[in-house]
Amino acid sequence: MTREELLSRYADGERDFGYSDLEGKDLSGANLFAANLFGANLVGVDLSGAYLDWINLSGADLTRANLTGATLYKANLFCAKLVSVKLVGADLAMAILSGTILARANLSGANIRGANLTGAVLTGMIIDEVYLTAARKPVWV
Amino acid sequence: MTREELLTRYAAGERDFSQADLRGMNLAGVNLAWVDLTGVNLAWVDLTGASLFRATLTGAILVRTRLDDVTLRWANLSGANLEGANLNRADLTGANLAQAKLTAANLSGSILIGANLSGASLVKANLSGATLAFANLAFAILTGAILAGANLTRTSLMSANFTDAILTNAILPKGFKP
Repeated sequence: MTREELLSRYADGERDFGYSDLEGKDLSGANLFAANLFGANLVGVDLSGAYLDWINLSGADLTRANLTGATLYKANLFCAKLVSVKLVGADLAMAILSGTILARANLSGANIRGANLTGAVLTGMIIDEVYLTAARKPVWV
Repeated sequence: MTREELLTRYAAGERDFSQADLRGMNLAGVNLAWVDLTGVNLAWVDLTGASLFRATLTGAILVRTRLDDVTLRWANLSGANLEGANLNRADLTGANLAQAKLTAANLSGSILIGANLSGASLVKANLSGATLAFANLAFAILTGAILAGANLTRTSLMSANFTDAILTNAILPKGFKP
């Protein structure tokens, strides 16, 4: 699926893009509010500045994805793979981050206020100035 | 079938290879997402680093198959035979491994988040450093399995058998008494 195909289908009212293959695609600045990308392959995608509030990314593979400055308010990232992901300045307020792998992720300046991190794997994370207020911390950190 | 024939047919859009004979083939690093390999014999096949995203491998024979660093995200491996298979650092997020035979399989550092391992046999399997958060291990047999440093946060362990299993430094679900 190309960027154009995804965005035109979204504009036509389609929301279900579960398990789709978007590896390496440029989706910067895209509006995917409340879209369903359950289990999708999003390895290396550029989602910088994208509008992703209420998106369902549970079980998706976001390895090396760039989400710099993206808004993910109330996004569902349950069991997503976020290895080496760039979430610099991203808004993850109230997002579900349970069971995610955040190894080597960069969350500098990100807002994870009220996010749920139960069971997350946080190896080698860069979390400079992360706004952590009221975040439910993982059980063993 | 040769490796070239398989990859040509896959590139042409064919996904059903359930009648194919792939024994002993070298398929390291190939992309076979959404492929149907129901009941196929993949014994001794080299699939190191390959992508089998959403593949159907129900009842497939993967005895001693080399699957290190493989992507098996959302794959269906229910009832598959993976005895002695090498699955080190494999990504099995959301995979269905119900009733699968994983006796003496190497799964160190593998990701099994949300995977269904209900009724699976993991006797003497090596799961050291594996992530099993939110996985379902109900009725699984883990006799003599190595789970050192494994992450079992919110893992369902109802009636799972942990006799002689090594759980050093493992993160266990709340209230779990081995």
